[in-house]
Amino acid sequence: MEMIQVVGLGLIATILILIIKEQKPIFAFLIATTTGITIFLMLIGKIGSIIDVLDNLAQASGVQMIYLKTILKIIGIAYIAEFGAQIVRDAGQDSIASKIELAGKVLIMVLAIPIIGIIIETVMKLLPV
Amino acid sequence: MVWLGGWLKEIIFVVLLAVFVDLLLPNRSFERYVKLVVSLLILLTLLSPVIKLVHGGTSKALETALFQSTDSMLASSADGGSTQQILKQGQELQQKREQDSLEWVGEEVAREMKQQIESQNQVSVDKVEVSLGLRKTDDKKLEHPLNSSMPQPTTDKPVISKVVIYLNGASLEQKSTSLEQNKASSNSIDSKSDAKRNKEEISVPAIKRVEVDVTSVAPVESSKVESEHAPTKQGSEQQASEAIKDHIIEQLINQWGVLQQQIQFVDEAHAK
Repeated sequence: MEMIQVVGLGLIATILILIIKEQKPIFAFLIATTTGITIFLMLIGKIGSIIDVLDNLAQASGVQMIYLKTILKIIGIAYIAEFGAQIVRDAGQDSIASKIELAGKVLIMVLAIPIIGIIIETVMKLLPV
Repeated sequence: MVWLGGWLKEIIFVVLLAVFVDLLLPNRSFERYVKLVVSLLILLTLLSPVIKLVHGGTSKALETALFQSTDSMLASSADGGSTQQILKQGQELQQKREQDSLEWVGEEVAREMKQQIESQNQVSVDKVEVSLGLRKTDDKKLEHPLNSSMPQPTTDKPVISKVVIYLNGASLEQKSTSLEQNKASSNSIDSKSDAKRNKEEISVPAIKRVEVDVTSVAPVESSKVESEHAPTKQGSEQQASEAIKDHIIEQLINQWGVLQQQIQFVDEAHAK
């Protein structure tokens, strides 16, 4: 049912944008942005339930929660950066979109730094000095 | 062998998560970066026994490092982030101390209640459990101690939220037989009943509070059913024990200010 709603919303928005694009390009952009945000908001509940399931799984199996947190952060950063970059790209600003993607990549790499640090530290301690 | 199982579980879970992330990724441009981080995590998991051997507390170090990095990113100044962290830690410590003191007070109150009940009713009580909750002075809502968030400790005052009395079955039966001497009991008393659902819990329905714990309501039906199935010999004893319980409830209400629906009896005598 949700799938039909999402597709219907997308189709209506697309037709509206096609009609309105010649007269008012700015409104077409606004419609596109609003539609994107609306679909994202529709999906938030489902995403929450998925994360809950993962959380319970991690707690039940006794895995360190920090791993799950890190991976969830990665997914979040990727999605948000993608979302913003797409909107900006739709508006025709490719350079800004690529900057947003760059920021996302850098933030993902920042998450990797502590892990790299621990691994390197371990290796250094294992090596005979 | 246990650590091996835990290690394998961890690896399986992390690999599962990695596959999940791979599916969830929005587009290809992030793929290489995400793959790097996730593979580093898998490597860390594989190495975790070695890391534990070399220096303990991996997850702690990782956590502090991660939180420091994200906090410094989020907060405009690094100073604010650390202050917030310290404040948070302080709050956690305070909550823990409050919880500890509440538990201690609960134990003390329970001991006193037990002495009182025993001395006034000549009934030996196995154990009295008192759980305390904090109540805000402005709203009169009772909070369960596990769910209470305790936001402002200065305006809260501790109240008794639940009293569970474990009656010693043997003594209760003795008492009831002494009350009704012509009805001698020949029941085998199993004071250490293992099955929890067999325990006959008698609880009083709520009067003031609308939301009653399910655990305190549900057993009533089972006790009813049990009393229906119970032979008539037990009926009078049950009445006698009910009278004792009513007496105890009255005492507790009068002297401790406990609400009636907060008192719960766990009677181990008739558990079969």
